[in-house]
Amino acid sequence: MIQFQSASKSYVSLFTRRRVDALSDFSMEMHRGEVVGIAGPNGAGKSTLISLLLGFLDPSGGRVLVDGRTPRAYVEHDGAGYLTELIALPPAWRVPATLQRLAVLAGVPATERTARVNAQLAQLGLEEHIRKTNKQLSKGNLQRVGLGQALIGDFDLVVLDEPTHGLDPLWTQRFRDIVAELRRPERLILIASHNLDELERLADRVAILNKGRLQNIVTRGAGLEAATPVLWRVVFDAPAPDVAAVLPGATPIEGRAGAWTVRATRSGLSAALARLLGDGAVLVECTPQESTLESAFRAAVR
Amino acid sequence: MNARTRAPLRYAPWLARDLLVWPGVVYAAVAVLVGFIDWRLALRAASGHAGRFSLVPTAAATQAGVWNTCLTIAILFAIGGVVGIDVHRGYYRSLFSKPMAPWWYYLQRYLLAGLMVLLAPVLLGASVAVALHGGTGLSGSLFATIAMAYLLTGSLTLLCSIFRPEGWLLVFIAAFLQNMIAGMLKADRYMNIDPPAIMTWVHRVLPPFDLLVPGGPSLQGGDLAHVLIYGASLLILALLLLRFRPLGTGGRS
Repeated sequence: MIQFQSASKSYVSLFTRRRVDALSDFSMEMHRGEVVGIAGPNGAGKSTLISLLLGFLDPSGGRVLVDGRTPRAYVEHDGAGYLTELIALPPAWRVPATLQRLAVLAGVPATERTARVNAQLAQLGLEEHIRKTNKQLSKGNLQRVGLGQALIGDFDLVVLDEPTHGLDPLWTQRFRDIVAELRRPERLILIASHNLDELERLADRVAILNKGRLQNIVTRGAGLEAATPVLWRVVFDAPAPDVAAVLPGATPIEGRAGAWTVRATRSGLSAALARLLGDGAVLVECTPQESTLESAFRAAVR
Repeated sequence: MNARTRAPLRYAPWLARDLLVWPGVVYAAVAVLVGFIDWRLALRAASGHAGRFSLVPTAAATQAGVWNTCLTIAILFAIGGVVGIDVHRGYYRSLFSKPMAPWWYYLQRYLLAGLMVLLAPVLLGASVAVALHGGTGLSGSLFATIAMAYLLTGSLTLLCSIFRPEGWLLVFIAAFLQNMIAGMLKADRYMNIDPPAIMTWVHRVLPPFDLLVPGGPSLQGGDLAHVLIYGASLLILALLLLRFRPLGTGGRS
């Protein structure tokens, strides 16, 4: 559905002629039915990538195609559900009117519009705020209105930029459920987030960006979990074995006898633990300290 | 994908509603205020308390006076910052991720704002008619002048708003400058003085705001063509920019 072909975006200062490469040589294909995550530190190029995808910016080099068309042509014809990181909606609009207006723009037929708006208000827990204007909403509630307007058009392309920004833990979890419900064979969902845990749970693939460049694409369930070394905490009962002897690089945790941190693949750790247990060691705890995605992220942005 | 309506005017009722609130309410308030002033002046004149120089208002004179003073401001109220505010505040991201082309959205907004500007003399006429128990002062030439002023000033304002929310300020300065230069050139002609070349050149380049005088004679011939071609060119340029120039300027803009 989406093809980034060596897409680049540079900004050149009008006066100093200083050039900043926000995105460099980004190539990736994204398909219908997928949930694709975009991860990266601040300034990695995530928002620029989304602006290119929606046609709000033109690439300086390469090209971006959505269903074989330029992004602007695609969006102007088919539309996209888009939630921005810092949602901006006219402050004087009331909450239901905001959804009504954007449903009209989204092309929701008049016969379905009120029902669709009411459903969004209910799904996003906004019914108690229907008399409020956007200006009177808290950051989290405004983000929920933003999510509502992104989903109201029932589009095939859904782009969520830092979607849980400002949401409390309860609504963060609810958001994950909503995204899970959004999955459809004909729909592509793109989520840009700092929250690796969120991407790990939701995305099929995660593109890791750093300094405008694609560093890695992590695919969930493609054997990567087993192949990528991640950080673990292992704790043994006394007498504690010498873990460093079987897992080079293991370091004891200060102040806790028998506790070690080790970086290992699943299979490497399993083999080492089997050896230690075979020698009579008693394992008390074995916990991953970071996810596969976190590990790949650290490696990519180091 | 669900059934979707692509009716091109589907959002126009919401745009019209916004315009009725702003600047519609302001236009109505000014119309009522001017009507009140006319009513007080008429009362003074009728009671014989009027001095030698006091005015006896007429609807036509009120219309001409108000629009000679306020037309540019009324147009700026209707269309000033229209694109720039949406871009600067980030509203465009929600608006134009939907299946709606920016050029078409803003053309509708421009045309409806023009209708709102044309409604303003009707509001004023109604207010003055009530105050003076007489006519409205409306005429075909008044509407034609206001419509041409909107084509010229409104189009330039739309164009400037694409670059900055405060683009209307440039329009205001240009209108002020052009009217001032036109006045000076007129005085020079009257006194048979050759004006400085730069002044003549600036007068030619700036939009011909000075040709549009509400209540004055109707434009004809070359002057009419000058205003229409200048205004239409500005509008077309604005629409081309909205069609081909991306709205975003940076990652989170």
